[in-house]
Amino acid sequence: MFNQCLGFLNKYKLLILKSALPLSLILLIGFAFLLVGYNLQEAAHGIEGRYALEIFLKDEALPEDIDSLRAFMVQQPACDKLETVTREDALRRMSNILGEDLTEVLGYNPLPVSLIFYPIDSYKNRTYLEILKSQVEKFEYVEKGVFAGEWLEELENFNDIFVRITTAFLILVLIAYILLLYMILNHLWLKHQGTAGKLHLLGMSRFNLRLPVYIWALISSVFTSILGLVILAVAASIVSENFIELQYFEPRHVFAIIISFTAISVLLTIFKPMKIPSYE
Amino acid sequence: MSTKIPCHMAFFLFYHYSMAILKIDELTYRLPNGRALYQDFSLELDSSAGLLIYGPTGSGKSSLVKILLGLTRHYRGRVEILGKELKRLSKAKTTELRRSIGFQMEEPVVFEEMNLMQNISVYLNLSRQKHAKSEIISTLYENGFSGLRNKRLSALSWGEIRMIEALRILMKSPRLIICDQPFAALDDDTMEWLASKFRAMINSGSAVLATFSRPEVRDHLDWPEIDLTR
Repeated sequence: MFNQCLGFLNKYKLLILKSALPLSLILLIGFAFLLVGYNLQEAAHGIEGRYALEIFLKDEALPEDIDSLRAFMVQQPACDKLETVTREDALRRMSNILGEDLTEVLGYNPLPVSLIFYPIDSYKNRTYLEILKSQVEKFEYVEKGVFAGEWLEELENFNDIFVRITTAFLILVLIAYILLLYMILNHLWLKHQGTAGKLHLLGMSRFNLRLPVYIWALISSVFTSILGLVILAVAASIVSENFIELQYFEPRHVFAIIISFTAISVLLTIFKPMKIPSYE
Repeated sequence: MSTKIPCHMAFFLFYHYSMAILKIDELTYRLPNGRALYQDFSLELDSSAGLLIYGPTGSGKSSLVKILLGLTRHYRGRVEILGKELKRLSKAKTTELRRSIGFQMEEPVVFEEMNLMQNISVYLNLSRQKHAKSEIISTLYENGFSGLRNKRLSALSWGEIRMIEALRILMKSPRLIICDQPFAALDDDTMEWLASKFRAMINSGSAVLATFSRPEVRDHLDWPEIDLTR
């Protein structure tokens, strides 16, 4: 049986290789969309932390003022976390970003004390942060409140739309993949059918006759998925080096993709009626 | 020193070898257009016996062979092969039964893209029989085919292919052989060669049923005959 499978795969190796390329290209398009969606989602997770209101205090603000503002902020029902950034902390962060010590350039530390307010998830929206901002700006020792909400929401909305488009597109890719695989399978079976009829007549069981096709589907789908993922990895590394940094799928995602496409292909082969001529 | 066979084994062997290898009882078969080919047709074939079925074109020779091979099931009556009633067998069991007998269809069932050796090896493998390569080569040599053993079957003539089909059945040595017009389109010498192989099969204990439409076949085989002419 094993030899028969090997013989079958050897006999149709050219067809298997020729079919692998279009199947891989179809998968590549789908995987590329998946990768962009995945990167956007990862970016959105990073952005979630920025749903925070940073309140800068005036230089003349006293420690008691800071305490009273802290007390006001902590009392807010939306408060998840409140962080105090001292002038020294702010200077250290800025120096890390700029790569040089600001006090050496300016001769003094120009950065103010600030409080960073992180809301709980249900309050992570632009409207709430704007209300809160207008409230804290009424304190006389508060310089101003800042948050990135203006563009965050739009980015999230865009991300949502993109995820929907990606899902729809992936379904289309999957349909195209199944149709192409079905066509190749038909072609392969038509070529094999005459021999299958003779072998069945001489005593080979139906399962043994179809087994090489199942094995073809298994090998072909694993091979095409890997090929698609490898081409995408190369493309992603080129994009990362030259344009924008892209995060590639994690190993568990790669594994899940290969398993899913292999399962789809093998199931399709099993449910495809492969008619054996009956010689009736 | 004599070997004693247990009683139940003796009974099994007696039953196994005394029953008819092929038994047809009141077979009635109609073509899809309603034309009846046989009406209450019966026959019995024991081991080491040969039977010829004669009939002109359209008399139902090939249909009978297809019924006997389990390829056609739309008939009335009872057909038993090696003690098994065909209609009671599942499709898988029918395939298994076909594997255990030898047969020739009206058209050769060979793999044209394979060579002679591969064809015989595949056939014997399918029959679950292990034959050494040297054994196959020696049979081919004895029958004058050693020079053709690496040739694809697409390069051989009709007569040569029919002879190879007979040879592989001979190597398999089944208990029952069913052949549909094995002598069709063969010259006189080849017909005699094939007849001698059939005689050898019978001498080794097989039962052979062969259909024919050419009267010259009677010059080579003097077996009992059933005429399907109406």
